[in-house]
Amino acid sequence: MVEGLTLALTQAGPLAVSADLHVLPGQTLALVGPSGAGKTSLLNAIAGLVPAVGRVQVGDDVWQDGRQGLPAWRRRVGLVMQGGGLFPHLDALGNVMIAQGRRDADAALALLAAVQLDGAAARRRPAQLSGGEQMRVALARALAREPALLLLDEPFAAVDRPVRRALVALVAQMRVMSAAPMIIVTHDLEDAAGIADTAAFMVDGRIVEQGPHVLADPESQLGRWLNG
Amino acid sequence: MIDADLTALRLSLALAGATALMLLPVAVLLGHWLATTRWPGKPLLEALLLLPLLLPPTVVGLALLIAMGPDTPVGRAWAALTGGRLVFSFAGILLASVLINLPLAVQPAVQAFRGVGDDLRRAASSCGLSPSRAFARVDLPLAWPGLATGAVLAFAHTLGEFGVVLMVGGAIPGETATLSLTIYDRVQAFDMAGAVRLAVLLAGVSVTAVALLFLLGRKRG
Amino acid sequence: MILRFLALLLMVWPLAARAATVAAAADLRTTLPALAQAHEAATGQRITLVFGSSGNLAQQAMNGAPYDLLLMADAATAQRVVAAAPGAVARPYALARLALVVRPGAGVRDLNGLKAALIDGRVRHLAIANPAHAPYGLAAQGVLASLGARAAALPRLVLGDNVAQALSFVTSGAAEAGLVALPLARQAGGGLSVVPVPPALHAPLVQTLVLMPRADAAARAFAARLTGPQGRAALRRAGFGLP
Repeated sequence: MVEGLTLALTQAGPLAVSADLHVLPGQTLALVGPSGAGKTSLLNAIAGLVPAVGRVQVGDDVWQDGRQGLPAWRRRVGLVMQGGGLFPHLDALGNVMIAQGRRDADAALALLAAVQLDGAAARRRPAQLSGGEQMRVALARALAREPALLLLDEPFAAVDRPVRRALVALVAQMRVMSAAPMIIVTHDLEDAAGIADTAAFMVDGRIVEQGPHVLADPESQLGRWLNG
Repeated sequence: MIDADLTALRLSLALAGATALMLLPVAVLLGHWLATTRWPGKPLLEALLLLPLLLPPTVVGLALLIAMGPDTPVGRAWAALTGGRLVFSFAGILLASVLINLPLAVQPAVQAFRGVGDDLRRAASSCGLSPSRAFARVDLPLAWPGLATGAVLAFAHTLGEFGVVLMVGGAIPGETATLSLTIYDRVQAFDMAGAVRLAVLLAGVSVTAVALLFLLGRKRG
Repeated sequence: MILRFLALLLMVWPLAARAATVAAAADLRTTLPALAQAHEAATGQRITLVFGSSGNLAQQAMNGAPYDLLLMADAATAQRVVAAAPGAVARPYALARLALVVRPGAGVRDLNGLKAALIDGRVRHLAIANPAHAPYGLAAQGVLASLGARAAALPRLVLGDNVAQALSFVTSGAAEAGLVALPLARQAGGGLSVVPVPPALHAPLVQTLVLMPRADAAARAFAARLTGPQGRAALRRAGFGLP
């Protein structure tokens, strides 16, 4: 029995990315690094959205082995894209329900309530929601699939300070609702420290450092990058 | 209004409606494929699809007249299938109409599917939607306004189309003598009153039909 | 000096450049160009040819098109123009002849065979000009009536905008047979058999020219050539009858 996410992946293409990662169930890994380091590419490769070579295993499920991989839609992943990636033609409820295996409006409303969106907000389309509300819907949608792995791509990037704090708290709270291993991409160590148990520092498409200590150690490469 | 007017009107509406209906699935499939494929031959294919707009109607009409003749492969296949003839029949002008309206229906569809964007397609597959479900629940509803625009353009253009139907139709009342052809014939026969009556009818029907289609498109979109 | 030269040029240029514009029915398409060339060579006058259906050309002339000479396929259309344009003069210049053109496979050897072929379907489509407005279409209907083939032909008829287009339905292979203008049929080629139709089988189709009021010396001279010995010989060679 393999626990959590095991990852050894290489992606060619415009930006070559390679990574070896292990994330345990219930654990959150902060993927930190300068912009352009390939963090989003790595997330997309794990989710199966871009071609990659290597191994991705979640629990006992092998999503990718060598060049062979499951198509993205068969990987039970909860992905929060940059900006949310909500469907503009569906209201918040519809956005959550589209990701459910079996359509269940009550369960979807409960998820929206968990991210602090009420019934009125559930009936609004993305264009009628604020940036922070859109991210909440995206979080609820990611949970709706009952994912085996949660991937959050800069969920706090597009919102201002107070909203950001609330969202960070919400993401921390998601750990209660889902025990799936989580990778959260951020370039803000403060955010990362509030949520993550461990971290990986990515530069130029490679993980140069990883482990729980990276978050706290000012002498780590990450620490020096942040301070320098 | 006289019977001949109504016959021509009914024929034109049937031709325009059938053209739009037949082009819709073609525009959906071809438009989606062109918007998402990375096939290197795509620019050439897109240019070829514009050909009916680039060539004068008489050239397209002559090519179709020759291609649909009873001794051509197309004509023979049609005869084997239906026992009838393609040239000088409703099916023949419908085929011609579908071909010349291809760019009007497909181009807006390509733009519409392109506008959906890779991000939303990725979001759809990361939500667990299979390609066919993603197509039905994300691509199609988002591209609908473009598809409706294409269908309306094809419908309107067919009502007013003249050159190609003149070349391949043979002006048979109730079969290939469309409204615009009938107007032209009346003018040539010095029947100005009849021509003007039909022209007003054509303008009124076209504007009404297209307005209704736009209304329908907006409600659905 | 330069100004006076320019003024002189402006006065003379329109005259020098002015060509007589002749609008002719489609059945003259194969006959008229050679005649116009001969006229230009002989006189130095320039002739511009426009071809179309008689109805269209007449409409255009009545609405101010710059035609000097109209060559209509019938008398009625010409009379319409004369009635609408005071000072215009009409004169017959030829008698139209029709021909039955048949594609090689259809197995029709003469006019008598046409009716049978229409009935048994060897001729699925018979192309004629649109009788609603084209003189040759009306004449073709007359021929069918004389042959007793009117009812047999009715479901088989396909109508060209003018007689040249009706012929193109046959040359393209879309229709098996057509009743068209003899001069055009002779030039069609493509293995079509051409059977001249006796003039007695239809009401005489008097091809009529109209000299418009604006016609200048060149147009009048060309009309004279068309109705003179040279024109008559050319028209006869092409297959027209003469008035």
